[in-house]
Amino acid sequence: MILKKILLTTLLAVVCQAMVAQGIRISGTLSDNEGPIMMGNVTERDANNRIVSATQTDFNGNFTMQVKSTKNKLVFSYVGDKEKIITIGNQTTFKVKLEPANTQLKEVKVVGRRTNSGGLTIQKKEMTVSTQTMSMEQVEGLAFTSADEALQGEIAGLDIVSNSGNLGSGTQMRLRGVTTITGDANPLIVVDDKIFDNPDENFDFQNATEEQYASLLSVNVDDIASITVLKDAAATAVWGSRGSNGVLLITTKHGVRGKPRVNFSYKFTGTWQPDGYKLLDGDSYSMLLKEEFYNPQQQPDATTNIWELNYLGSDRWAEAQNWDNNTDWVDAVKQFGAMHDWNVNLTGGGQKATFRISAGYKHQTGSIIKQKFQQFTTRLVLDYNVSDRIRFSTNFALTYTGNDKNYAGLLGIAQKIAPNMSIYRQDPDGNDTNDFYIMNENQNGLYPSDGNYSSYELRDIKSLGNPVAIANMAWSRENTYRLTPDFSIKYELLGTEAEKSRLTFNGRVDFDIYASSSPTYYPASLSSARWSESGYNQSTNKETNNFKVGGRMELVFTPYFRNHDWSATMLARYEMSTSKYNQQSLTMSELPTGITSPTVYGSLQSMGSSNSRSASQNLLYNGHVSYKDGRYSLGFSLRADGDSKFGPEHKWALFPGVSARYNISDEPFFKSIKGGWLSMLGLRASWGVNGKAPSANYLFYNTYNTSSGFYGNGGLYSSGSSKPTGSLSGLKLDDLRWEKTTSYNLGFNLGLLDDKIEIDFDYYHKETKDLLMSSVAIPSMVGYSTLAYMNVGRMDNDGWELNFTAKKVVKVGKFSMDVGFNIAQNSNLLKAMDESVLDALNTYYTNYSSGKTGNPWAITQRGNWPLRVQLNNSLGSIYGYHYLGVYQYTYGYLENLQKENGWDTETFESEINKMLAQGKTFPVALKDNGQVLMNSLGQPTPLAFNYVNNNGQGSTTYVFDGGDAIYEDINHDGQINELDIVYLGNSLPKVNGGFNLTFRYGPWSIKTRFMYRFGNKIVNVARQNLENMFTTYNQCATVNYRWRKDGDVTPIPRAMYNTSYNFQPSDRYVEDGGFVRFQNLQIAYNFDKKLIKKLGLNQLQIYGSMNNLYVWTKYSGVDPEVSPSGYGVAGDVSQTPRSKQFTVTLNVGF
Amino acid sequence: MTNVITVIGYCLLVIGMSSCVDTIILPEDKTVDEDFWKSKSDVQLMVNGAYLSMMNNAVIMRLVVWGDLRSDELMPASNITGTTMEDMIEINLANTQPDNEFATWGSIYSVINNCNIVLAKAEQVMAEDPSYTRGDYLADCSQMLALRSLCYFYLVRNFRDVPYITEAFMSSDQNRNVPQSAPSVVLQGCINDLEEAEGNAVSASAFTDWRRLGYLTRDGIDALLADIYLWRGSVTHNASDYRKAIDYCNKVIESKKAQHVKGRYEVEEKEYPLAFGQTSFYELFVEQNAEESIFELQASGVENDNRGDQGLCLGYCHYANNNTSIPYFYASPLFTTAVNTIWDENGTVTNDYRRYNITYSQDVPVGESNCVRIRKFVTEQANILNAQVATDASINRNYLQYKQNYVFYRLTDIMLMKAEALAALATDDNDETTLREAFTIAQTVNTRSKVTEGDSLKWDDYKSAGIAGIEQFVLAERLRELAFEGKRWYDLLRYGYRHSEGVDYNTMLADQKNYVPTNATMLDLMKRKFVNGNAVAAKLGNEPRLYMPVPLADLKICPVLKQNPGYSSSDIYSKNY
Repeated sequence: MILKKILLTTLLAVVCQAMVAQGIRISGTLSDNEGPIMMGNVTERDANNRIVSATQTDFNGNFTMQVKSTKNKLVFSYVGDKEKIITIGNQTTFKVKLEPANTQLKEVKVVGRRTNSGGLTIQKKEMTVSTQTMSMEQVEGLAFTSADEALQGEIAGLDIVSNSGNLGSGTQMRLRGVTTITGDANPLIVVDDKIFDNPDENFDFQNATEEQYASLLSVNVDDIASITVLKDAAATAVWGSRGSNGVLLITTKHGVRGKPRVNFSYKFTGTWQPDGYKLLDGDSYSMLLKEEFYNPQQQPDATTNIWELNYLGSDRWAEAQNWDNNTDWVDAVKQFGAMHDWNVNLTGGGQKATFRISAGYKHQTGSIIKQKFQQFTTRLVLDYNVSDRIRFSTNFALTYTGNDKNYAGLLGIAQKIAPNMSIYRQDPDGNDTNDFYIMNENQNGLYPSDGNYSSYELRDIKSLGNPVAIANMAWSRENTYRLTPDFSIKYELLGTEAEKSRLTFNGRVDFDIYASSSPTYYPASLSSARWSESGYNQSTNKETNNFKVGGRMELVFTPYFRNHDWSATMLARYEMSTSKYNQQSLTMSELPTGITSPTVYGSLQSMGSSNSRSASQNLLYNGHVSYKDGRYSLGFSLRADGDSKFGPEHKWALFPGVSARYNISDEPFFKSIKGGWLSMLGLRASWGVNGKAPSANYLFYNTYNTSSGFYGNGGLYSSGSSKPTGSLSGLKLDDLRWEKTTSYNLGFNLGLLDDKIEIDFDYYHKETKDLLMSSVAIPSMVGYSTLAYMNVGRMDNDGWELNFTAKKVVKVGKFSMDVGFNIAQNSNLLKAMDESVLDALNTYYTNYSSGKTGNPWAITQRGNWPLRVQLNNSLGSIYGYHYLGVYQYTYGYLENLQKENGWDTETFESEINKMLAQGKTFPVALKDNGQVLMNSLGQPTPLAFNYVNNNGQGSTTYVFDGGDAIYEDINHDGQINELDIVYLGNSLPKVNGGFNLTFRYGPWSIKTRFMYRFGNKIVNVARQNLENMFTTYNQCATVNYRWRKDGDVTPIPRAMYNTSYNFQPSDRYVEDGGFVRFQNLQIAYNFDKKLIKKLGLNQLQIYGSMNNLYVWTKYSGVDPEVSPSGYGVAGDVSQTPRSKQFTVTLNVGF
Repeated sequence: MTNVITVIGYCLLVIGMSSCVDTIILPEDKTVDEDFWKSKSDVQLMVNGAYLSMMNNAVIMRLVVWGDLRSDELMPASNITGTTMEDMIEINLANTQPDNEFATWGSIYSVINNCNIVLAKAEQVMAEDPSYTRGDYLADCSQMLALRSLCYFYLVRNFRDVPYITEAFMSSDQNRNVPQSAPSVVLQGCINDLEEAEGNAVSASAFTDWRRLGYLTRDGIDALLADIYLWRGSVTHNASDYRKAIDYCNKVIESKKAQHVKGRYEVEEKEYPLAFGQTSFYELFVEQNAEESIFELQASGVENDNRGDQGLCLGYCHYANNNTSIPYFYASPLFTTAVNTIWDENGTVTNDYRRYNITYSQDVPVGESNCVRIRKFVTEQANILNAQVATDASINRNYLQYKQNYVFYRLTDIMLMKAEALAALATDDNDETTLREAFTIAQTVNTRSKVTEGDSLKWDDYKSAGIAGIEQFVLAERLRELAFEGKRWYDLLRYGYRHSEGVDYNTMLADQKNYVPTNATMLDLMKRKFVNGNAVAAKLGNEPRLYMPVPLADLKICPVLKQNPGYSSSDIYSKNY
């Protein structure tokens, strides 16, 4: 209020100074049919309809006032009467009689809900494009860290999968499939009409190993009013080169007129980890390892020297007590996490100005120990109407996030580490001390009996490190600040009269300032290595700064048609933005203990910096015409984008969009048919083009690196200084073009029973041409091995989506129920691609181990999934062997049988075939009729894995035996190799969506939200690793059912340390990833309004809710919410799963 | 209404002005082509950059693997794991696959492209910067032509049929699919370039600091020409090539003589300006940039970007970082005292400084008991003079400051090339003048390194051996003198080619029907390092197998490349799902 007064006073003071010279005094009386009016309003307005001075009539309807200018108008008004406007002129006395207004109001129904569409305000029923809006009121009371969580399962065609359960890790969003190969496939996020980029420009989407900064974290969920998802190209064409993945328009809350209101809310959320795999305890683990080491060598003393597995007494080994435990490491790194979320906002305003000031603070501890997330947000939104023609607005937001992450993935370590080891170092009596237990160094050939060493066989366990110690002593933090102020002005150039054409000028300047620092520290106390090890007391820091400034000017023209059947509106916009980015990183090790900053000089491990600038501008024309009150509507837009990332030839690109809608239900002939139950039937069709620019800058220049090192001055006593050198950074990309997606969309909107039930349906086809791919391999003869970017191919996406909402569909007395449901299907096809690019992308087969040139898939490198991108197939296809179980009997068992029974060759063969027919399995080669293949010696041919007959080194032949995995020998060549690999499924879901149900009974309401995905396959890499019995890592308790002796029937093969091929990629690990998640359950109680008033409040609500209640799935892993990255397969690598949560919310308004 | 027009006018004005805000943005930390190539120093940057790219550890490592590992000199360490090691073992056992890390040529072509860029762009600088004279330009061109030729010479000797590219690749719209050329075409191109460069080359005496040896001067170009002619002569059995080789050797020797500064104790004029045997190893490989050296790539240690990653350090000293004490390679059993195959030329095994200087036997892990460790390019100690000290480790070279030049050509190499050419030119076993001249040169090299003075090698002992004997002697002397310097494999190949008939150097292997079998004597020499090298010898049985396969990665994305038929796999890996 104070602000408003100051502004008004200032303004009036200015106005008075200008006007005071012309002031004259006027007087008069005001009356209506019922006589003189008391307390009637008389105001003087200037040309811009600003109130210059005002007075009220007295008991007799008389008034007198000083007017500023005779050119101004006088406005007379009184409740129940029509307003009257008179220009002052030379008149000084006024006798005014007001006409009564027609107060006989019929039932008024507000139908024309207006929506923002590409800068134009359009009636909902005239919306020609495919969009879906979610009001945040729907999810009020639920606790979300960022807005995308709220959207999960709400929008048809928007597939949201969370990256992991770590705090602040964000989600992966895919709208209508993927249209890019290596680029960012997340939709564009627009907050209050302002592009909200991911500030970390160098983020590599294809090869991301770390989690990306979740950009949406910078917007407090409580400040969001609604989120609109633009789906079809005609809608996103307005965003041109940025909109090819779809657009998420977030609208923040603005102030509302009325007296100031203070709203306070507090949420408490408790989180905990779901139960993961049941792992082996210490005893079963050491038993497994003993078997694992024994099996390949069959040596009785295989584990004699590995004291860690031998449960010695303290008298024999000082560390014995640390190795005889049953530690539940997973439990040791889990905890109950708590989130406190405070929000307060102040909103209010009058005719002149409205404001909303909000502040939020969030404090969250993770469900994994030592994770902490803090967020502080403020937002100030101010709209000030200088007059009814000029409006000035500002929106000023600041977000700070502090995320204390774990230095390493604790849950992953906890799953792998030896369960017989202790967390804390134990004294000879087995009591915990205050020190964490850290394993001794290891060296090949040395054992604990040789001194302070741990067994070399357990080196993998040693290199994992003690997860509890890592959590407590090492850290990794990420602090970010983001400031996004904008200032805008709106000017009605032709006034606001209803019966005139309108021309509005909008101008805006906006800034996006982002700074982040991510320091890490790894102390020497976590390892037993020497001081000179490069990781000793290692500290790193990475600082990122991003500054973006944008400006926009637009003219919106809404012509006035005498013929009211026609209406139209259009805009022309010019926008430019420029951004600057820089990043610095530093890694220092061998720091003195206690120093955690890399700015102290230790041993410099690495340092780097990068910076870039870019600029873009665009011109947009967007128009909308409708005829017969929106019965026929047509939208068209054209955007020209210029980007500094392209060379002169392709710098500018045009992105057109056309859309149309025909509301059949408005046709007069239809009115008679529908008989009231059909309230809307609109058909929509649209076509549009979107584009995408590469994410790197300066690609079309030959850039020279003029400080790429020094040459010269070799030798001990050489004279002369060395000379600086230069080099060409890479080939310039003269022929790089925009990636363009052309799509069309057909759909309808159906409204039944006065729009109580609404159904939207859309079918779309998207064709992406000139797919951009980064780091494309080129023949190395040109001196460079890759091109930074290349246009490589074409991809199609087809799909449909259906959205159904029914409000109060059941209504019985106090009870009512809402239903919402959506479903979407997308299929993705790679239509064309450069043969050479395909070849370079796809793995090729090699007999030798990995790491070769190109993209090898070494058949002998165990557990690796081959990667194939094929034409006319969708991305994310999974290939591997066909798994048939475990060989029941050893080869030796057959030989013994023959010996015992003295069978000749023929009998032997027929006996084997008999046993095979009984369903017994032997590690022998089979003919294509399923019978045994005998070799020339009269013996069954042993089945080999990748039979390689080369007499040199590198032979990888392995002969299967009892207890090994059975892979189907597809081509019956007596060996399992790459030719037996088959297609096993696809990582992309066939359908996905969500549904929600809301029940209300009196003041009580219950909301439920569900999301689902079906038809996708997941590679359960976690289980592949937890059941491989190949390393010394801890395993899943299911391996207790492993094959141990002839005749065992079990799906789990035998334990073989560093031998055998029992966990090759096969359908054993390819699982159905379909699920239905009971996402939220919320119970709310609305207090009686009277009661609230009595308490001196104007709002009081209490909610209780639960997130991630239950998942119905066949998937055996912890969380089926896994999605592929880029063209790879969806592999569940056991990230931190999504936690389960409950939330209590208190909302109080004053 | 006028108000409105004014406002619109202002808007248009602002739009008009902001339209001038360019969407062209230049990088801050790099210079773009339009602003580069403006001054002499720009050219210098790029010339030095070309040399530095040759210094890249990927290049040096390849020179070691191709030139030394494949020969009888080196054995890969047996207890290092990792793919690099696996690839080295593949090569050692002649099992090389087309996806072998060392069967790639990108790093060499990167040097070639750097040279091509200077050759394409430097000329325009003369117009921009008056201080960049035509003489400067031609001198820079001569260096770049020579460096490019050196690269192609390596490629031809290791891949045989390679794409011959002389245009600079700078933009993505150039045709990247360049087919291979026959080796005769490539070598003739190199010879033409070098003979052109030779006329404009800088004289080594133009510099007094490291640049005397760090740049390809006229001496370096002559040495390279001699090497190429000798190689081509050996392949084609063409006497005029041998004569050319001798001419260029003489040029180098004369030039080195003229540059020689007499030492304090040097009383009489030496025929060849060689250092004393006692100090020559120290001067050449410890102090470096010795007087008798001709071309060395210069490593500046700390300043140099490559630092500890240099191929030499990885190959001969530490394979990974400062903490590993084992290298990728050990000297083969040839160098151990037990076998004594290479040092007993005259029966007095202990009489050669080189034997103690280039290897030592301490710190050899259990698995490498047949081998010894390499001191050349590793030690920072002075000369070691007797057998006892030869076990001394004392080579704690810091990984991070591995300031070690890589020697390409030095005087004794040239002398022995001349000896080899002379022996090849000898008309028959009775051509005593020619053979004796060849013997005398090799003898000079050998005698220089004798511990006790006096010449134990006698012409009388070799007179009867004829051409074959002298040829063998020169070959053996080259091994003793130039061990681990990336020469041996090519010495063996030249030997093999001289004794092979029917080599078609004008046709690519992929277009040939029959392949020339490998000379048996060469294979016998080659397999000496193995306990039983028959399998390896069998795999090297014909000409295609003596060369590296065409890199698989390139083969897949460049349709015009043809695989070396020695490695073409039948299509067993094609899949039909």
